Amino acid sequence: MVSIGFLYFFLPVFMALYALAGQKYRPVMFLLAGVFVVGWDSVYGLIPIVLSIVLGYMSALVSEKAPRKAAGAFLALTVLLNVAALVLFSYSRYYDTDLSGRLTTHPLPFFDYHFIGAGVYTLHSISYSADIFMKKYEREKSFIKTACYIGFFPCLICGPILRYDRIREDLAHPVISYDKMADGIRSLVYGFSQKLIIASPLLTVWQRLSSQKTADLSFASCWFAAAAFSLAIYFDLKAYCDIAKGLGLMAGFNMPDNFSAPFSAGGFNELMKRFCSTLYEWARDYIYRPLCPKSEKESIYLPAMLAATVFGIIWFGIGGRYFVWGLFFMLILTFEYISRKLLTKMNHVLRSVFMNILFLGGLPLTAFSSPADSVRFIAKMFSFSGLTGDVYALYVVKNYFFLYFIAILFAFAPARLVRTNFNRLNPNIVRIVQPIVQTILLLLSTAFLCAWQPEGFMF
Amino acid sequence: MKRSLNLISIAGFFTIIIMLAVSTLIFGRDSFSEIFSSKGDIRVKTETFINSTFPLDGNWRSLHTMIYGAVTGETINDIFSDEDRLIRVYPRYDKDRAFSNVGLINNFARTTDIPISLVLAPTAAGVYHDSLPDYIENTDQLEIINSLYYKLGKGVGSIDMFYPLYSVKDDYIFYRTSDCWTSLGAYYAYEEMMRQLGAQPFDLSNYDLEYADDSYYGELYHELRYMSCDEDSINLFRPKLDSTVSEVKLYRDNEEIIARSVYFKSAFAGTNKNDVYLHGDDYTRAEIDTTSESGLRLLLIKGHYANTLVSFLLPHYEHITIVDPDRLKAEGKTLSDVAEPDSYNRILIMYDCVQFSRTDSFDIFNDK
Repeated sequence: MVSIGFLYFFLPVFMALYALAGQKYRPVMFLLAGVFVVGWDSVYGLIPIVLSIVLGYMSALVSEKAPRKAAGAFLALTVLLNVAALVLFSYSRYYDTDLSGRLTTHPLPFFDYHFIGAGVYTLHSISYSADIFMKKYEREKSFIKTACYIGFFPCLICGPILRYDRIREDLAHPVISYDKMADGIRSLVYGFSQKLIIASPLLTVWQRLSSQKTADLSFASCWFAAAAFSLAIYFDLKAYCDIAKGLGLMAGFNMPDNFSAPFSAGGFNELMKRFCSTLYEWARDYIYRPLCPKSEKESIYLPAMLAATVFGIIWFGIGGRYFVWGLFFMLILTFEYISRKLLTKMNHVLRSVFMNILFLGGLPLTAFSSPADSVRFIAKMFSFSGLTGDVYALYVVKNYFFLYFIAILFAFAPARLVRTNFNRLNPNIVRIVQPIVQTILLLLSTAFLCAWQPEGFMF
Repeated sequence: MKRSLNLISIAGFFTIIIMLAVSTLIFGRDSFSEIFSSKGDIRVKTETFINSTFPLDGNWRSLHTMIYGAVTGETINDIFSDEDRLIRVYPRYDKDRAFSNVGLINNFARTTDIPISLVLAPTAAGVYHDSLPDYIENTDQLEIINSLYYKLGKGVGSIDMFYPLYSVKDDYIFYRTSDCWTSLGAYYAYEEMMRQLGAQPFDLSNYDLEYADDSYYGELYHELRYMSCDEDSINLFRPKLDSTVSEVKLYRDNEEIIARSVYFKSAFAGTNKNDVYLHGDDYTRAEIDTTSESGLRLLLIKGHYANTLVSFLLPHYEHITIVDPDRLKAEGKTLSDVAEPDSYNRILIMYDCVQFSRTDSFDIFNDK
C-alpha cells in the first residue's frame, strides 16, 4: 500500500470509478478493488479470503434459517477454519513469525506466497458470524456487502478491526461527501508521512544499534534502541491504520480510531485498550466475555483476561518470541490485577513512567530471534553500565534527536492536547494551515517513496 | 469557510496526484506498451515502469537526501555524504565468495609457469575509512585484502595498493561522485605496482594532462542527487612523446571495433562519462598493440578499476590482452577460448576488493 503505484495510480483510478459507480454499485466497485489489491500481491492470497467470506456469509445464513444446534455447529466450523487460516496465513513469508515457517525449515511452496490481511478478514468473519448467531443484529442479505465488510481492503494490512453493525449504514448508502473526503485525504497523507518520515528512519536506528554486539553498547544506547523500536512499531501500525481510515473516509465509511496515545496509559491493561484498541475490543467481546460471564467475574476474570491477552499478542505473529512476549505481558497483568488497589492510589504520571520502563524493558523479547540475545540486551538495559554513553548513544543524540523529539511528541498526549486546545481557540487558523501541511507532507512522502528502501519497512 | 478549505484540500491533493500520474504515462508511453508485450511478471514490470518513469525522479531524490541524509547524517542506499564527497560503504562483504575466487586463482596458477600477480585495490570507503563516523557499518578493506593475500598459493604474487593510496588520500585520487578512482589515483596505483613488480614506472612529468571533461557526475550522485557535492573532472594522461598505441581491438560477442587510442571520447555524450577508458565494461576482450619494443606480453584479467590504469601500462608491454571475466562467462566462453596464458610474460589479475567478492566468473580459468 505504501508505494508510488498505490498512491498515484491505484488511488485516483479507484476513486474515479467508485465515484462514477453511484451508490448502488459502489459496494461492487469496493469489492473489486479489494480483489485487485489482494490479487495484485498474490493471486493465491485470494483463496483464504474467499473462503473466509463464504464461511461468514454461510454461517449467518445457517444461523437464520437452520435449527439452533446446526447453526451452532456451523458457527464452530466457521470459527475453526478462520482460526486455522489466521494461524497459517497471517504474516506468512516471514519465517519465524508464521506457523508454516516455524514447522518447516523453509515454508511449503504454497505458504511462500504473501497472504495479505489474514489477520483481519478472519476476525471480521468470526465476529460477524458470532453476532448473527447471538442475534445481535440482522444478517446482511447481500453477498456483495457481506464480502465488502469481511474483506474490507483498506484495513487488510494492520486493521483497524471493524464491526459489521458499525459500518452497516455506510455499506448500504456509501455517500462521498466533501467533509469525509477532506478528512480522508488528511488521514491518508498523515499515514504515509508517519510510515515514511518517522517509522522507517526509527527502524533504521533500531537496526543499526541492535546489529552491534550487545557488549559494545552502553546502557544509554540500549534504551535509545528500545525506544526507537517501540516508536517504529507504533508509528508503523498507526500509519497503516491512518491510511485505512483515510481510504475508508474517502469512500464514505466512518472508521474507528485504533490508537489513543497508548504510551500515556497508566498501566498495561490500559495500554492494551489504547494500542490497537479495535483488536482489544475484539478480544474482549469474542474471547474474554464468552469465557467470563458477569456472574463469574471474580473467579475467572484473570484467566479470561490472560487468554484474551495471549490472543492479542499472537495476532502479531506466531513465532516463539511472541509467546515469550505474551508470557511477559501475562506476568505484568497478573501483578497489576493483584495489586490493583495499591496501584490506583499512585499518581497516573508515575504509573505511566513505570509502565513505559517495563514496556521498553520487555520489548526486546519480540525483537530478537534468539531468546539469549533478548536476555543479553535486556540485562544490558538494566545493568546501568556505561552511564555516560558511547559512540552509538552519541550517534542517536547527534543525528536523531529531532526525530525522537517529534515521535515522542506525537506518540504521547502533548501533541494532541496542544492541537485540541489550539483548535478550540481558533479553528479557522487550523483549517487554513491543514491544506498547507497536507501538501508539504504529500510532497515529502513522495520524495521518501522515490528513494524507497525496502529494508526500512516493518510490515 | 470550512467547506471552501475542504474543497481546496481535495482539489490540491488530486491535482498533484493526477498531474504526476498523467506525466508518468505521457513521458513513459514508449516503455508502457512493453509491460504487456514482453515476458515476465506483470506486477514487477508495472512497478519497474512506474519507478523508472515517475517524473522529477532526481528532484524527489534530492529532496529526500536533503531532508533525511543531511539531518540524520545517515547513509542512504549505503552511500554516505561527507562534506564534499559521496562514499559508498560496504556493510556486508561476501568473504566466502572472495576466498573461493582466491582458490580458483591458485588452481589456475598450478596450470601455468607464467608469473601471476593479484592486485586488489581498496575503494574510497577503504581509503577514507577514517572520515566515516564510527556508527557507519563498513567492511575493513585492509583486513580483507590482507586475509585474501594471505591465502594466495605458490606462483601468485600480491601487490599492496592500500597504503600507497592511503598515503596520497588528500590528492584527487577518487571521484567525489563515483565509487571509482580517478586517473591520478590509477597513476599512483600503477607507479606502486611497477615498483613492486621490479620495473621502473614512468614519472608523471612524462605525461601531458588533458582536462577532458569538467562536469562529470558519477553514479553516486545520480542515486542521491546530493546537491552539496561539486561535479568531478575527468583528466586524461597523454604521453608527451608519440602515442604508444598502435592498434586497439575491442571484442564483444561477434562484434569487433578497431581504434588508435584507449580513450573513447564518445563516452562523454553517453550516460557514463567514465566509460571514456576502454569503453568501460562494455567489451569482453581487448587486444592492444603498442609501439614498445620490450618484447613483453601482458594478460590482464580485469575488474572495473583496471580500465583507468591500462593507459599507464602501455609503454611497458608490446602487446596487452585484456579480458573481462564477467562478460566472457556471459558469452559462455572460458579463458582458453580467447587467450593462451602461456604465450604471455605476465598475468595480472586486477580488481577492487569489493567487485572481487561479487564476481562468480573466475571459473573461466577452468577449461570446458
